Amino acid sequence: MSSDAALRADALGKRFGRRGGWALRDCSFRLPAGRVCAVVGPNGAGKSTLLALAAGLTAPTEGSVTVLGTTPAAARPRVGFVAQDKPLYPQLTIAETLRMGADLNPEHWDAAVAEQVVTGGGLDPKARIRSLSGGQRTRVALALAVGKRPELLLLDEPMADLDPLARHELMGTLMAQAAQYGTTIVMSSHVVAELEDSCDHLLLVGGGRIRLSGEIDELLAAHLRVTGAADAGGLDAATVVESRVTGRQLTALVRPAGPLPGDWRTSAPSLEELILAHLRNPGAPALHEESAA
Amino acid sequence: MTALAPARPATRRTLLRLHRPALLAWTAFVLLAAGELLWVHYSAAPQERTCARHWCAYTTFAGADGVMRLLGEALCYAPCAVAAWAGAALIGRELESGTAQLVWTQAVTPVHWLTAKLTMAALPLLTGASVLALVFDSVWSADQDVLAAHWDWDRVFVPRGPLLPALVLFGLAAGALAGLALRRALPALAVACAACVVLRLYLRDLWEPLRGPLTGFRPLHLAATGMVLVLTAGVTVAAYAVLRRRTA
Repeated sequence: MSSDAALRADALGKRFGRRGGWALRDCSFRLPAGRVCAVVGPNGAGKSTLLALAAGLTAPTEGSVTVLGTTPAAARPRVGFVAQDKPLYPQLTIAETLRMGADLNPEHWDAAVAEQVVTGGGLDPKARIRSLSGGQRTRVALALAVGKRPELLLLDEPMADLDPLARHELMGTLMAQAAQYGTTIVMSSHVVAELEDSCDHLLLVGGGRIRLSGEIDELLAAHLRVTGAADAGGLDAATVVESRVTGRQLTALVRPAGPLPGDWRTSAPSLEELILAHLRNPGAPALHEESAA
Repeated sequence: MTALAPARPATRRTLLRLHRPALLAWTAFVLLAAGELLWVHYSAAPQERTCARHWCAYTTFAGADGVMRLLGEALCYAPCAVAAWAGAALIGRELESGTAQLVWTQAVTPVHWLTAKLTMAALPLLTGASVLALVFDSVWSADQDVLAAHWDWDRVFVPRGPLLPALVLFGLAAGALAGLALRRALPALAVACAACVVLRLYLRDLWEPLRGPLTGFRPLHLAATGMVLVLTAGVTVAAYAVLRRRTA
């Protein structure tokens, strides 16, 4: 059943230091191959830790993570990763950085794609990395990751310091890659709007746990925004994620188990509403929609 | 079905490019020190032998003995500079800035990365230190008559043979371990350098107890070399253990 999973976590946990807190705990999810997945959550939720574990940069404290059907270490040549702070060697030029990518990724380096990403920003290949702006460095880091032509691309806050034009262009490049080669892309962000158009899968991380996971369409379909009289009742059969009373009126985000009584007005929630409701209410039960796979 | 072995990532060009300034600095140091030694042998020492017969004035630092004393001390502490460099520039800074992680997410495993780094650094360090040890030994042996030094003084004992390259290797390993354990450039520099200074200061305590069973320079020098190499091997194993524990 796991043969087509690009990324799978089983009771995954990571603690920093022997007495430190858990950055991630009891995470289980499965991401089918070929998806573009958004990892969303507040600052310090464990998004970066999750991506670093998948990239094989740190070892899990407990549980396991499976990448492309094998261990993160064995999957290394087939996985691309861009860390949040976009580390690059400041003393190298852009051309030297790309040559390093070619040297360190024998047999699957795509120089044309890497150069296309770099020249798209009008960057001079002879410019040194230390002379670049934050957004320009992001472009070079992405070129290095895309040029590897990975089967799984892990991007930690990839678009944070890009201008809207560059963001649009690079997102287009990434999506074209995904479409052409069936690349699975996992990207984290805390800006939901950034991901809504391009992602079809969601991992919501909060407090070191997975709060929601599944296809975005199915997650949205599983929830309803309901409005009605505060004393109407009839919501007992549904799981209430969040509810708010203003005057005599009650507004709630619920997961209905069956049809609701007719006196509730219902509407479909937006992705942002869904995510915010879950983040505001850590006590709401997690939901893992696995039916898509 | 036999598949072709996948091509190994070629790390050499990148590493040479990244550590080019260090390689140039080390080459310059080796050439300078070797040049000084040859100057002592071919210019200063013969001149002082003539002076012994006639009268002439010379200053402390320009004299053969002064230069040899200075060079001996410099060579004794060279491993500390190597440790500082290895801790800070070779390993610590890369972990601190995340560039090590950048390399580990190419097709290069962390173990392969560390091995490549240590080998690329060890080759020029061993070559340079061996050349210096050979030249120092031959100059010291040939010009003993104008040098005020005894073979068991540290500044003569250390640079006269394989003990010098062994200490340089220890500096490299100590730097790597400190860099990997502390993951920051400045603390790694300080700790690795301190470890080397401690070894330098207490080196005599390692081989001095052997003075009964072993006599003369060569046996004691080789025994001290062996002990430093054992220490180096232990530190290297520890460095790999730290790396394996930290990464998947």
